[in-house]
Amino acid sequence: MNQQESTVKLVVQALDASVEDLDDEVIRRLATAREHAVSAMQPQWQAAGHAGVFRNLGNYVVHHRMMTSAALLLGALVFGFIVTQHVIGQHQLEQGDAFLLGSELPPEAYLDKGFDTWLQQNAR
Amino acid sequence: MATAQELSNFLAEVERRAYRQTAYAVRDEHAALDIVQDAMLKLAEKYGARPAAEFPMLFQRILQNTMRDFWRRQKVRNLWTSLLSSFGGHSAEDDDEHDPLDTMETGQRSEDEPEAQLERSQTIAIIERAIEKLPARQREAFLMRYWEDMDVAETAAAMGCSEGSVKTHCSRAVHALAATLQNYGFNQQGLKKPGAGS
Repeated sequence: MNQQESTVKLVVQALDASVEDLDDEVIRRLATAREHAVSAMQPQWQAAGHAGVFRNLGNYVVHHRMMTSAALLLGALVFGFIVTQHVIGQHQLEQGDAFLLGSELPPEAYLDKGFDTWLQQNAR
Repeated sequence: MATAQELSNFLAEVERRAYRQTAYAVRDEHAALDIVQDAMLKLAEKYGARPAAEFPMLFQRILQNTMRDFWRRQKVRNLWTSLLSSFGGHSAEDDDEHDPLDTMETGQRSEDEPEAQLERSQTIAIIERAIEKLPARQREAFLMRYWEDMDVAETAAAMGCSEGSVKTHCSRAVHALAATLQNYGFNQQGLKKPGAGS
C-alpha cells in the first residue's frame, strides 16, 4: 500500500468514526428531516396509490416534459391534418352531388364505362 | 421508479455522512443540519420518482448546490456583519477563528476517560480539521470519491465538471492531506502520536 492509499484509508476510517460519534440531538434531527422528506414525497409520487399505469404515465410526463410537449404538438398537427382532409373531402362530395343533380344526364350515364366512347362516336 | 421506502433507506444511509460533509464545508453545525434537511426535501420533492440508483449522484449534486446557496447568503450577511462590527462589540468571526488544534493538548476531556478514546478523538479532530482546510472543490471531490465511494463519472456529474478535473482535485486533496497528516505525526501505519509534529 503506497502513501496515497494509506492516507485515503486513514482519512476514511477517521471520517467513518466521526459519524459514529455524532451527537444524539443531531441524529434525532436528521431522522426527523428524513421522515419529513419522505412524507413530502408521498403526495406527489405515491398518492396515485395502486393506479400504477396512471402513476407511471404521470411520472413519465413530469420527467420527459420536452418529449411530451413534442408528442402533443405532433398529435395536434396530425389531428388538424385529418380534420382538414375531412372537411375538404366533404366539400368535394357536396360539389359532386350538386354536379350530378344539375347535370342533364342521369347519374347512371357516368357509371357506364362505354358512355364516353359512345358519346364521342355519336358526336362525329 | 423508487418507492418511499427506498428513498427512506437511502437517506438513512447517507444522512450522517452528508451532515459531516456539510459541516466540514460550512463550519456551522446548525447550518449544516438545515442544508442537509433542504437537500433531502428537494430530492424527495423533485426527484422522488427517479430510480433509486440515481439517488446518490442526485443527492450529492443537490447538497453541493444547497451549500453554494448558503455561501451566497453568508457572503451578503458577512458584508453587513463586518460593517456593523466596525462599531465595536463581539464579532461572530471570533468564533470562526478558533482553531481546535491550538488547544488540542490542553483542551482535554476529563482525566478519567481512557487514553485510547482521547487519542482517537484527537485523531478524528486532526483529520477533520485537515479536511476542512482543503479547498472546497478538492474537499468535495475527495469526500464523494473516497467517502461516498462514488466513481469518477458520478463524482464529475455531481460536481458539474470533467472526469479529468475530478482526478486532479482528488490527487491534490490526497497530497495535501498526506502532507498535513505527516506534520501531525501520522505515517503509513497510522498515528504515531497526535501533535508530535508542528
